[in-house]
Amino acid sequence: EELRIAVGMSGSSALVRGMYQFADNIEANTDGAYTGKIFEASLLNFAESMTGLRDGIADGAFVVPAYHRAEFPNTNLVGDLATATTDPVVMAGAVNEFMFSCAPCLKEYADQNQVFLGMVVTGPYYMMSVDPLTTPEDFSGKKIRGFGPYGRWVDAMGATPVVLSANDIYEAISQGQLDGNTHAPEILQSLSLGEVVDYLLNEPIGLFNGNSMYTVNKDLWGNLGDDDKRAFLEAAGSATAWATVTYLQDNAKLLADPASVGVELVEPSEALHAASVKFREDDIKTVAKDNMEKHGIADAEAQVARMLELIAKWEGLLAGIDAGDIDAVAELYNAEIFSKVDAAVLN
Amino acid sequence: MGNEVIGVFGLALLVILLLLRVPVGLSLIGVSFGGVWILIGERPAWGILSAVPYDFAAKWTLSSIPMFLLMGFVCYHAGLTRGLFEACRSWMARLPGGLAIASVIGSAGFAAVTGSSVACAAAMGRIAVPEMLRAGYDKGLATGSIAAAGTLGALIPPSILLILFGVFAEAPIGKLFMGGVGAGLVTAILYIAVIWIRAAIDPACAPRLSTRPPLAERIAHLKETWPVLALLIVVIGGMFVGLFTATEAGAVGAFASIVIAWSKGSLTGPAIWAAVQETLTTTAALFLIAIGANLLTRFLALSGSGELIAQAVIGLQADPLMLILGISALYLFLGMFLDPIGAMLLTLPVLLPVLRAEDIDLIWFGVFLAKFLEIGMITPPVGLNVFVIKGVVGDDVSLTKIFQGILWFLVADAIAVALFIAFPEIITWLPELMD
Amino acid sequence: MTLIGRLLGWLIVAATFLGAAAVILMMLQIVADVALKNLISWPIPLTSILVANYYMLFVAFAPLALAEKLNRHISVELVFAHLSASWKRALGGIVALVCGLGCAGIAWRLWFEAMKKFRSGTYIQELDINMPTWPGYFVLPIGFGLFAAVLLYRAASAVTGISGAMGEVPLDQPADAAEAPDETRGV
Ligand code: NA
Ligand code: NA
Repeated sequence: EELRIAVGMSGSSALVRGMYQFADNIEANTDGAYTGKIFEASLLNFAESMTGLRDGIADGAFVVPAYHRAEFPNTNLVGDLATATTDPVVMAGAVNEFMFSCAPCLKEYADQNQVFLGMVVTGPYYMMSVDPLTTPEDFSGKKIRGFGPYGRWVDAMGATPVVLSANDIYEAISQGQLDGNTHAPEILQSLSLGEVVDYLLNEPIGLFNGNSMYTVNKDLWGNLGDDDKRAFLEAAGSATAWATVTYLQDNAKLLADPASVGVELVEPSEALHAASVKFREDDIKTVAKDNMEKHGIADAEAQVARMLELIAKWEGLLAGIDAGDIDAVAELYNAEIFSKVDAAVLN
Repeated sequence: MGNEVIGVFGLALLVILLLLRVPVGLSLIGVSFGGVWILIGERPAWGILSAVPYDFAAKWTLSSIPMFLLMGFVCYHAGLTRGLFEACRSWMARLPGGLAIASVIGSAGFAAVTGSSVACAAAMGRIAVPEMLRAGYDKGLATGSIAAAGTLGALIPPSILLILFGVFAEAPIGKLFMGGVGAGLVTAILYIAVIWIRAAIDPACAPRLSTRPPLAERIAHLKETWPVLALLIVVIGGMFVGLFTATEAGAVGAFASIVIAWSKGSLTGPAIWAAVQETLTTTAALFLIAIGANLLTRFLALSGSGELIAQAVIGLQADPLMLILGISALYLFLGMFLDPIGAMLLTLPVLLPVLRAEDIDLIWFGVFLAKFLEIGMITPPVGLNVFVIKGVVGDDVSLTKIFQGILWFLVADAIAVALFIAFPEIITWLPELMD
Repeated sequence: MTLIGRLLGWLIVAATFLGAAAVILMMLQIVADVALKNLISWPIPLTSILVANYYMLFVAFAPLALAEKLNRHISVELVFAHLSASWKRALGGIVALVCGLGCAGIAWRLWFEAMKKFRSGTYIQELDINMPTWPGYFVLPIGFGLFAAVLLYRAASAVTGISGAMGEVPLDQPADAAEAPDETRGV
């Protein structure tokens, strides 16, 4: 059976390639019983992926829970913890272990007629700007785009956070309405932002934990046999490792050769670095508080504490492993998380 | 039956529905809905129908469409553009084909304050066509020059076509606008040349005005062009200086047009109500089609026919020039029948990956595409600009006569397209200046 | 029939007022946002959400019925223009009936979708503010519903021969470009 797998963007990003990886893994793990056809931006865009998957327009889709806070309150709490570590490989281990053991999170997916199969972590995000901004004084009076935790970081560094659609960033910066943007360095290439900004601050801000890439339709899941469910889970586990590690490596390449995208890497002053580190610690508390007060999650503090425990656990688990070795990371994710998931829990 | 075959059948059914006079937007929605149902089932078909309309319309970037429409309608209903034509007319009176040349220049000016070529043709048609017919101009020349000059409306910024292209191709709209300036001016110059040559060869088709208004009167007319010039400075200048983005420029322009109309004393209640009401009906009609086209791309994606076509194109292994010529032929054909937005949205999903693979500059291509879609507005059998002019002239001039008058301008368009291919700088130099 | 027509006419006027308010408010808010951004570096919060998730929906969907009433929806007149008056009425009536039923179906589905968003209380977070966006979803079923009603009224007019109560442009008389410019066609 050929599955329709939708991703809301096209191109050569590790996220798009990660969807192909998922399809390949499914085919290999089910001995060709299931194959996947990837629709790059042509079937569902990101805003539509959640409802499209719910209604069976696609069998699998890259869902971004951050677009649907009301429908995914608990899952978004995990996404909010962007600053808990700057290592995406560690974070992906922790997030996925958390998600599969978080009954309310899994129910959020079930309520939308879909099944969570793995969260890819991207980043870290950095700040890119027209002028070199290396001290807290440099930030004052600047307008920098950032949503969620990145917006809070912009604010904490002394600049004004701006919310702007991705379409408008290039123009806003080239016209001088915006002084910078926070995102993974990849955007310098994909949105050609390298043409309008000249500096990239070498200070990781946080990760993006909200790429629910391998979500599948619940009716499809219900029709799978037990072996096929296992095959899908491990396909997602390996693809989660593949996309997380590849995305990190792609960004590392840009950081190693910033001139290739037209920017110069600048180092933060000690004061700025200290402010950023302090922000990252404080923001964890902000997240717990916000989720309790604004998003109605009563035990937000306990959940945040559990995530922090898991991050520490995964730092240990990954200590002996080369984070660039996709196979090793995949094996670890599958052994520790994906193979242990009780497929019945997902029904 | 293969899925691709279902896709092709869907397109055939679409043509039938269109010919039965089912509104274009609803035809697109109906075919897509039925096609998705057959391909993957009832629930997804309803699902796609309930997701796409909201997600398509709820976009910040698209807000400039109603705003630029409002600006154009306010200009028209408050009479802000008439002065421009009057000034051109009094200064061009002695030139061969002077009135027609004045119409082209007037259209270029109106184009700078409207995003739509039909709006441009309709407005100038009402001002200039009766004037030319009264002066004894050949009917084909009088109507054809306005229908053609109307196409400047979507080339010279602002342009709704370029906004939509920018949204779909994720290309910066400000740069697309700057690219449209070069293309629009070259087109206008070529149209003027065509009129001049025609009038020189056959003076009877454009009798010269016997008298030229005295200098004092001509200068007085010049002063009446200030509303359009002021708007131009506010909108284009503000964008260029960086006070606002291309998306925000629409709202600023609409607001400025209202302020100017008010200061001129021509901001009447009925005028503003007419402008708002036309903005609403036009936006609703445009969005219905854009949503239908958006749904059709999903259907074609599911059926795989779009992919089939793209692979066929890539399989030709043509060099970029051949590719561009092929695309030109495609749009010339589609433009004969289809509404430009429909034609663009139908083809972009297939073409964009090919263009990216061939490393073709998307700013250049967006403007080039807009030019071809606008040529489609004046080619038979379905030429929307021509229908608008026909509406203005009523039974005085036949459709055939208008299309005959347009033939001359199609020659100019062929030259313009050749120039854009040979000298892409015509389009790209202004956008590159922005960096 | 006449009564229904008149009622529809009033509903269209109401929808038009909502759309007009959205156009004007959208313009004023964007202009104010631009002005404040440039003057005191203080963009008006929530502007992009209000524009995209509220104003745009009213502008795009509230006037669907008005556009139908005025015959402003774009269609291909290639064949239709050459038909006799009675054929025009027959074909126009059938097309209006089918389109009306189709739009009613769309409206019905969009209503369910809107109710889903209402129940989950869909919102967007901008910096520190949670802005509800579910109300905007209701504009779509209302717009399509009214559009459907006008189409069905047209179909009924073709059968009964009673028309004009809504102030509509008759089917067999394409929008007169000289009278009311048909700028709805293409761009
Ligand atoms: Na224009
Ligand atoms: Na045509």
